[in-house]
Amino acid sequence: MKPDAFTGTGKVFRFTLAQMLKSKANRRALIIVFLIALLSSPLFSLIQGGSGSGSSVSVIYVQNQTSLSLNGLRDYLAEEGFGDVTVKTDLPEDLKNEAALRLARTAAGLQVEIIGSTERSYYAAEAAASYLRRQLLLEAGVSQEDTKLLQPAGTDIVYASDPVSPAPQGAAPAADGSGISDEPTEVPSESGLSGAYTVQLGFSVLLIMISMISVSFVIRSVIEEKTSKLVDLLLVSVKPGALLLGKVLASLLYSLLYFSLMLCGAVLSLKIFGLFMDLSGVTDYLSNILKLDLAPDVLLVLLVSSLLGLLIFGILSGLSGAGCSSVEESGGAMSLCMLLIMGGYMVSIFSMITGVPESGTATVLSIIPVLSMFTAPTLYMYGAVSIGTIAIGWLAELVLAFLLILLAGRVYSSLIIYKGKRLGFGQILRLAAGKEAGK
Amino acid sequence: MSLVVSHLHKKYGSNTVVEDLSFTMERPGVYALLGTNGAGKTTSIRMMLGMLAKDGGEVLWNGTPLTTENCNIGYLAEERGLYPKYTLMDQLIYFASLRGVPREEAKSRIRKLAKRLEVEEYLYPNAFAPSASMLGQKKKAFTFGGSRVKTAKPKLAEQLSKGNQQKIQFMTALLSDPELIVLDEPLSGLDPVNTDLIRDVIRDEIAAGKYLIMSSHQMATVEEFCTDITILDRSRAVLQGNLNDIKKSYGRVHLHLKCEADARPYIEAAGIGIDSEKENEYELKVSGQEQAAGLLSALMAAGVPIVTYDLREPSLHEIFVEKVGEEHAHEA
Repeated sequence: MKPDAFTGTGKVFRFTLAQMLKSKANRRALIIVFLIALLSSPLFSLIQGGSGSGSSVSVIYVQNQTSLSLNGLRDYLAEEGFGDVTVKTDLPEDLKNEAALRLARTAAGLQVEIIGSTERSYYAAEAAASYLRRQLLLEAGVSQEDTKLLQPAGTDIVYASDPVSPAPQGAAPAADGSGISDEPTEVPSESGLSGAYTVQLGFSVLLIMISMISVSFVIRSVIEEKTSKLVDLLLVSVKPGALLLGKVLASLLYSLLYFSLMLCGAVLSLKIFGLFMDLSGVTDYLSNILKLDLAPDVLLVLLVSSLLGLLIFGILSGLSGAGCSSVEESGGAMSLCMLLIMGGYMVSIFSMITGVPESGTATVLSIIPVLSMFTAPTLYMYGAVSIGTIAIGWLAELVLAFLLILLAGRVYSSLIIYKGKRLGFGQILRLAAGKEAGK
Repeated sequence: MSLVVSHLHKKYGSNTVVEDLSFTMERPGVYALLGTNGAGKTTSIRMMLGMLAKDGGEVLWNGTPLTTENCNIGYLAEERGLYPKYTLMDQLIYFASLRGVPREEAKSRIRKLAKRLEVEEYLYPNAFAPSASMLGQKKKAFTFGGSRVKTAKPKLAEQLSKGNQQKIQFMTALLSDPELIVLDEPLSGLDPVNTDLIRDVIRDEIAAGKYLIMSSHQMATVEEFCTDITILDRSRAVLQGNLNDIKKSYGRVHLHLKCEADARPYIEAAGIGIDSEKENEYELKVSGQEQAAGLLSALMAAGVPIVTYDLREPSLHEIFVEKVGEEHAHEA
């Protein structure tokens, strides 16, 4: 492809973007999206049932019948995501959204009775129990580092069952009905799924949203131009590859803006409504993502992988859109991209369902174009793949994008002047090979 | 400067849509590409302008392949439109910028063409009413004569009539002050007033020494402007050359006769065929000047009052119909 094949891309890009921003309908849509995002947290909270994977846990009552110190408990709870919790010692008769621990020492170890009226309060109390277990180990002379590994005799936590508490995955029932379990219980994760899965799920959902927005903008923009009968006029001034690329880039930037506005609205919603509403349902849900430490290199991987993937979707949707003769056919034109987007989404979340995959699988997931857009950032963040592997994935995506642009340069002008029933991608490839009529 | 089109060829699968088209423009003027619907005119133009890949042949401008880089091309496509929701000025500046015209220069050319084509009121809506800027107010609404007046909003393409949209589209073809102008059906759908406006601009471009390629079904218009023609029929060129030479080759065989009495018996007696007849007015096809003169003598001798006697070469319309008809008859 000659270098002048992309001459004019910038002009097409600027004009398309400027017109997208000037459009009254688009501006209205942006405002509506922002308002919806602004209302998202209270709405989500209401759908979740108001409060609580449960409602917020404001107080944990600890009835301490041991000599263990509770001095560091508050800080520990804060580290575990229960920073808003106060520790009190006078256990009331009726618990609402509070949690309680009854601590006693037995020959078997520390007997912990967790009383939680909601799922979240149960987990808060469980975190407190975990802290007390560490204290117990420290008291037994185990070093700070080894407290997580060692479990000397007489330091087991023995849970007492409680009818009020939920039965999370992995929690052992009382063995003899006495209310006291002989076996130490595994501390389950809140959802029963890995943190990597939650992060992947959240990330994939965000990518699906932005990909769909971007794909629909590109297709709409291409079809509108085609139905406006402007194509001949444009193609005499600018090469087809440049026309498509300018349009794709403008639509991409606009959809990023659209998405950013949505995100800003959602964040503002959390901040504003969080002042006078209980949004723990939402924050619980997002806790794994909000807690992420996004280092600059992780952000770079996230950004580059997403943009390359979106570029590929953009070019594909531009080609599909050019094969349409009316706006009504845009749904059909979206099908190929939707298939790829949904495929990427499904593979990405299923690959993380049991935690971060092993290195071989992770490498494959990180270098397959389109799929890598969904998986590479999470895999890199969890250390499953190196930056070298990620770079190979980027290279693969760049090569695919370039090949698609070459294909676009070959068929876009034929497609864009084509009139008739919508062409599928197979027919577009046959057109590129000169085996199909372009008129 | 010269434009050479040689052996252009295009096939879709087994279907040939343009077959071995060649012609040359050695000097400025108008070259007409004529043909029936689906004859391959638009496909030929698209191939010439590089929008469609050629299966064979080449198009040279001053000896080098014609591209938008080595030739400033203006194109009015047969399939034409505008972005319906965008302002006219934005679109025109954009189209000019794609042709490499700087913004300020584009604005100046737009103003000139808008005046020439009488579309100023759509491009400069505030120039036709007292404006805020004239009063030194930069507001969407301003006070004038004690009352609140809204400044006119820039027009969108969808707010214009088809004819006015067509004039804006015509402007886009001329914005870059092109040396080669390709006009595909430039006058179709225009009312007589707007037709005249565009004809005047075309005349100006011809006078300015531009190369024009024109495709049209309106033979009278083409005949008015063009010096050379190619008639395409079913993807092939069936007649090519200088229009005057072509006409001369047909000879003066068309006689328009109008009398004040019935001339039919004299026409039949002279063995002349009647193409059409209406109230003693006849379109006749004669074999040559002698046969026509014989009829005239007979009519005068019989004392039939003659109103019109016009022995002329065939019009482009007649040549076109005859040639294409011949081809179809031949193939049948």
